[in-house]
Amino acid sequence: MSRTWGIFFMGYAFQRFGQMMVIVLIALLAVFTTQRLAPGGPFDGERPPPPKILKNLRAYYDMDLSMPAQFYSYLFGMAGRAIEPGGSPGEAYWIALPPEAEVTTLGGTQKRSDDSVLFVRQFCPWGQWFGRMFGAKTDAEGRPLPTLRKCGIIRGDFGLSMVRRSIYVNDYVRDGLPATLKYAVPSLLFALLLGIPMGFYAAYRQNKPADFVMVTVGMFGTIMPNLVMAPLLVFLLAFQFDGFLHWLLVEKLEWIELGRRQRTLNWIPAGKTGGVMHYVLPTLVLGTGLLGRIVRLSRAGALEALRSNYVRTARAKGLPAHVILFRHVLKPGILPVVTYMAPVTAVIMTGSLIIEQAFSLPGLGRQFITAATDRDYTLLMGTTVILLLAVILLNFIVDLAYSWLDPRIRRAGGGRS
Amino acid sequence: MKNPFLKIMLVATTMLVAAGAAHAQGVLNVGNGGEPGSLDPHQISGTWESSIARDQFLSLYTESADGTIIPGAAESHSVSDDGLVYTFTIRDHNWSDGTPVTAHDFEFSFKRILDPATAASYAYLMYTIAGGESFNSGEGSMDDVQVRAVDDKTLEVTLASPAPYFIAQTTHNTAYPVPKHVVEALGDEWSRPENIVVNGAFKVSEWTIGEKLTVTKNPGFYDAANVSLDAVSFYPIEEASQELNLFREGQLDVTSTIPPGDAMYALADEFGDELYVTPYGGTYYYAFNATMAPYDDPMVRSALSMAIDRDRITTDVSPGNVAAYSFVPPSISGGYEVQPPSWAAMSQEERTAMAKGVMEAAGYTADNPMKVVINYNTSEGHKQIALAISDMWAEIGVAVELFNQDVGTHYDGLQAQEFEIGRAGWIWDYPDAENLLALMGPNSPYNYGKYNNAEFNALLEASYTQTGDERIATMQAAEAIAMEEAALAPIYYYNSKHLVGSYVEGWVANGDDRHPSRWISLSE
Repeated sequence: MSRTWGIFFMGYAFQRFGQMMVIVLIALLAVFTTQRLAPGGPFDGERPPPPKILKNLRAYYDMDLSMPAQFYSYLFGMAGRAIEPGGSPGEAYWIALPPEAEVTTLGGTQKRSDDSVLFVRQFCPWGQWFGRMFGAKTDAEGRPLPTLRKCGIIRGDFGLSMVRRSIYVNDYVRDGLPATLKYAVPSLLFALLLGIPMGFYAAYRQNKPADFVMVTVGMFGTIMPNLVMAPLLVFLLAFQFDGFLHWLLVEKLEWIELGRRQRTLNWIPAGKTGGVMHYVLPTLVLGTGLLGRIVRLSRAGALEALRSNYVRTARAKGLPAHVILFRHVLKPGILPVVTYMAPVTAVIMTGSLIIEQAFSLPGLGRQFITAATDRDYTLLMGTTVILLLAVILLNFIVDLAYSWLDPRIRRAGGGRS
Repeated sequence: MKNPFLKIMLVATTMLVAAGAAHAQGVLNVGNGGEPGSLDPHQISGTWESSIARDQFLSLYTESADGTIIPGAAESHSVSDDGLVYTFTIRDHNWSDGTPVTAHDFEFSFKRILDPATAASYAYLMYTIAGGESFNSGEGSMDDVQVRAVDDKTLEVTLASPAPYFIAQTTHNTAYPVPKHVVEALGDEWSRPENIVVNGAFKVSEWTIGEKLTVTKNPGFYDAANVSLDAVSFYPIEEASQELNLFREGQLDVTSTIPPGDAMYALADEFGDELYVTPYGGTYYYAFNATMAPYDDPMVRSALSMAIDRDRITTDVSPGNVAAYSFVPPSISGGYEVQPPSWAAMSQEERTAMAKGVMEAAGYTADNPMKVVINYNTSEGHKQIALAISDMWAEIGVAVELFNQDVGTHYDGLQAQEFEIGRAGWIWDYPDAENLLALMGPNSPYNYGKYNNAEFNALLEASYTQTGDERIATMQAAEAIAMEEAALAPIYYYNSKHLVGSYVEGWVANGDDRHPSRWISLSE
């Protein structure tokens, strides 16, 4: 990489980071206000708590603060609360505490000092927070560190789920994001590894029956919504053709050994994500959804490259077909596909919402939907931010890859936005 | 096999699939119906959470395989003559970290759940204890809660009023003990999987959110010698159809339910004895908003209730449940007899004719129908029932408009009396008629329609100071009044429905639908 590239990269990255922060902040504000304006709340359910209990719950989650104060404390994690003489939580204040102020914790779990008219709400002193960040479990005197709550998302604390009382949103992300990627990445690979050769072959055989077949097959997957594709594939593979596949894979080829009591092949991945069979259906559903666009884009890219002067020259030179393909057609040919990789992240994320719901996969998309229907404010904000960051980050990477693949863009000094 | 590609595929697939499908011995795979929100027994509310808590914690009294109440962490108890003071003798047993379980742990636990700062959403169940309600609502102090560890082995609990169901209540997760020494050291983080200390038969060993939660046998459990399973994995699958598929594939040994509707008939053919349909402690009903006309008129309410053909609903619309004419289900314990209204003895044609007569007398006919709105929480099952009832009511000159909302908003509306007729359901917290009858009384936040009958209220009030047969008779008299006045329209009694593998032993269908894993074993 040249020096100019480095400078370009730094400036570009800086600019993008700034944009990213603004987008995240706007998104947070939008989610924060809309969900609170929506009817219902996180403590509703089949059996909503009686008013006395509801009051305790609202205090526990700072929902008795004013809206701006709630948003501020979500971002920076600093809300204080007075303790009344009886020991019950009283009026809430919206203030920043000195970083090492003595704090008694709320939650009925730690002894409270009786003379305290001071602050209760557990919050997050920088010192302890840093300690935790670097894995400390005890303080200098060997006592376990107290619960760190309300550090604010600025310190990476997405808060406590409001519906699932003991789960931190960070826990959801820790378990959910890898699960989402576990299905998103194979789907993308499936679509790319199948779609690009199909597109190139279609371009090579332009306007011949093969071209028509490739494009039709690809488009079929794209036109069919994931929502329809998922149950359709379950119906076909797990029920209609299960007997045939069972005969083929288990009895004839002996590829698969069935477990005790197992009457069918393990097509449906709900919960258990062990075997390779569990990847088949989600990958097919999500992958075919992308296939059509990739076939069409790589076909277009390849056609443009094939028509170009340099390919004509290469042909005229008498270079063998595979050399022309790999040296002259491949890179420019997949350029349109690479461009598409930016919006594709958003397509995959939304697709994940559907396949995770359809196959009961433990991903972040499913938590996102659950959070929205449960009015789990903190979980919804957390998952929104994470999914948003994933899309933005991947867009950024795609932009860089694009400028690397296409020299014209680099030379123009990064004019693309 | 000549093709090398096929060979590689063969090896790879065999390895991966075998690893995925292999059943570890002694591991029970349970469809749990939902993702637990906490392992802290004081912070949970769902059946999918209490099923896990039940395996991890041993309460004063606990359930045998068939749901009978048996001594757990308490060896025995005695009750004072006035029925107010319960004295428990704590069994010699340990927390999973080796610390003995003492009466002090129970005192701490009961006070902790009532602490307003704990903000436990089910704390109100412990209002049975004297001083509990005032402490929880921020008026009294913790010291006023009448629960006291006399010594390490003796726990004394004083109730606010006699409650013969108190022993049954101790089997509910709100009364589970938490380890005082751990909670004091770690605060709310005590219940995280890496920190948790339990006194039950199993202890959490793995939890991946959305995937599964596994508990493994606790070797320090006092009765560990009689626990057969090595581990239990709970799968948080919400869709009944997914559970069914997994059961078919042999990946689940027990499901939390079966798909709704008439799928049940096909499943009965397919699975035979592996399908369990059992009366369950609760009732599906429609609440009438008695604060507005015409629902404040017992005649109108009765006519509407009468016109509902419950047999049609329980055979065609929501099969597998039992037609209900009383609010208290017949599976209630304690010798209570349910009190259906007098018209329950008539045939459906007679009921409909009578209801039609009532509505005509009030001036409503097919041409000039009474307009009502049914609120229900969004769900295909509720919609089907509401549609069927609309049809039935059309016959008696009532035009129905349906209105559905998500579950939270729906129940908010019910609590605020912003409805005319609202779907609701109630599963008892403890098997005592009081738990249901209170819903038609003046003090319950779940008396959605604000049904208010002085005679009923007086009887209910009186039952709190009575014991034995006298108390049962008073409660029966109260229910008879409320049912005759159609305080609400019971539609069906819930049944629990499970698919349970034939090789799962010690899983016994019971009215509380509680199945502690300590009694379960797997046969080959």
